Amino acid sequence: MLELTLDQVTKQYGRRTVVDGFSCTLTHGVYGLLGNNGAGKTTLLRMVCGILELSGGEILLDGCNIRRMGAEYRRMLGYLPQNFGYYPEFTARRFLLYMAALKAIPKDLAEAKVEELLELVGLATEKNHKVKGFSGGMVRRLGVAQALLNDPEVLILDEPTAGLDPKERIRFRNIISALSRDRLVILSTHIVSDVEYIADQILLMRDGRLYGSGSMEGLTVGLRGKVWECYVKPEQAEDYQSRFSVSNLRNTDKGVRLRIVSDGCPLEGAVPADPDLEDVYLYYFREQSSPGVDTRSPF
Amino acid sequence: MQEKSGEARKGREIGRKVGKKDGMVAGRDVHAGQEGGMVRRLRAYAAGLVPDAGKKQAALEAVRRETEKKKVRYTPSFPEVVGIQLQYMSPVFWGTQGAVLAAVLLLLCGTALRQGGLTDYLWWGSMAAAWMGQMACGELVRHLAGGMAELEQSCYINLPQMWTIRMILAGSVDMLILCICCGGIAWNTGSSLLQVGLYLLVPFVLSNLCGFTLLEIMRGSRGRYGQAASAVWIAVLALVPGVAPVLYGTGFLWLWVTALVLGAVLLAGELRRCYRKIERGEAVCWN
Repeated sequence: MLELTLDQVTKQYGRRTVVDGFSCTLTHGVYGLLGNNGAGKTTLLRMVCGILELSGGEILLDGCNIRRMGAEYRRMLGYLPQNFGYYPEFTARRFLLYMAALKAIPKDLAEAKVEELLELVGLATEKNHKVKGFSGGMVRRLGVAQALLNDPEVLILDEPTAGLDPKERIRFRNIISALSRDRLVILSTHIVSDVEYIADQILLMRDGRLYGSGSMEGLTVGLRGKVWECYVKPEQAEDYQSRFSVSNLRNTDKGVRLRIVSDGCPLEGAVPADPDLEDVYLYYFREQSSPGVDTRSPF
Repeated sequence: MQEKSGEARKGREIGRKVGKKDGMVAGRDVHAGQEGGMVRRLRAYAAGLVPDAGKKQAALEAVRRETEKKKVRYTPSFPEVVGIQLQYMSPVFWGTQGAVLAAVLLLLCGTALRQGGLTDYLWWGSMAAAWMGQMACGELVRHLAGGMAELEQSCYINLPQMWTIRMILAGSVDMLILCICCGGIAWNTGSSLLQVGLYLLVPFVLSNLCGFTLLEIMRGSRGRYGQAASAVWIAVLALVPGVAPVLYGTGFLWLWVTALVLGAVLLAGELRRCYRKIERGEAVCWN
């Protein structure tokens, strides 16, 4: 079984530490990398892809350093960058054939694979159109297709669903779920529902560090008794929002229904609710300045 | 499992049977000299065995299925990699190179018809050489300007490899045009081929140096605009020696040689810096 080990991975730009001693071991399955903006997700993924040099630590695939593996590692890698670039004068088909050539896929195999993937991502009818005329969602789908060209054993997707409409996102999730068997998929996003649906394991990243990890169930179980629902008067809603982490607010006939993430009962009459991943996210990524909030790592 | 141990037992019995005949005790050959005879007898015995057709078919089918599961590991040869790069190089690059070649040939003929001197030839020759240097860099800027570099760097054939091949290709085309230009000028003016080559190589090398320096400094679409702007002023700079023809005299050859050597050393350093930046990822990642 494939095993990717990140051992004390660190990246510094001058004095600023973007990724700080990130360590974990990944095997088959889908890993959702969840973190707020600027947490260092993209930098970490670039290092995992071998694009960015590490300032410290090492990344090993089955015990071999990926930098030393070089082309052999890149051969088994599929990557969708956050800023997915393309040559605007290329058609979708030509673009994929170009990427297939760079991924050392024999020409006859590449032709068939390109057609198959264009069909899979729903771009078969647009294959002879220039990429510069594509919408953001279509470009993203093309990006997903190129990442899958070499049938990669390690698939790294940085914000893959950004710019996709709900239907496309569902289609994408299904593709990833179907592909996740016998391969390692790392998915970075801050769209919690994407991770919720397809990730087997969730890695929480904050300030360049691994803040916690576990399955969806494991993370939510840890939050039982910390999610509350209550009704308040409309004029009180703002006050509660400033005092607590409110994951949901809805106006109802009975008043404003608040879903609060808090270690203790926020007010009399509040009832415990079942936590979901959004609550987990909110709990672990609360602003440090929020009053009465414990920002210690729970792990 | 039982079947397997049964097969193994059968194998051991056969071994014992043959071994006994040849003087083997507990699987050890006690008559080493008779080894050849035993092997021959074993072969003869094996030839008599008839494989189970069904089992053989099943085994072959299992092998076929396993083979299908295996991924094709294809490693393109160097000529194939060059072919890939040739196929996907920008048509604009080939178009401009063709235009420069046509312009060089036209100017060669035109200046020859006017019976121009060495300075007349070098006036436009230097400008063409400077432009060619910029065009070669322009083909490399394309990777960084389109935001493709990050993606290309993650591929089997990665950015430094692509750059190297494209530089070899573009450099070869440039050298061919420069050779035609040098040959034509030396033939028409009766000047030394080496001397003319030196006068044209200096603007070419310095223009490359300028192009790579800009490539290192400017990223994204700014890089493209920077290259376009530098192509204009580098061509203007290349015209300067033409204003003072004395600089093309033999007395100033040392100056040209110094400029060429210095330019080549700086260019090599700049290329090394660019490659190192790509390897570290600094030149590749946008944010």
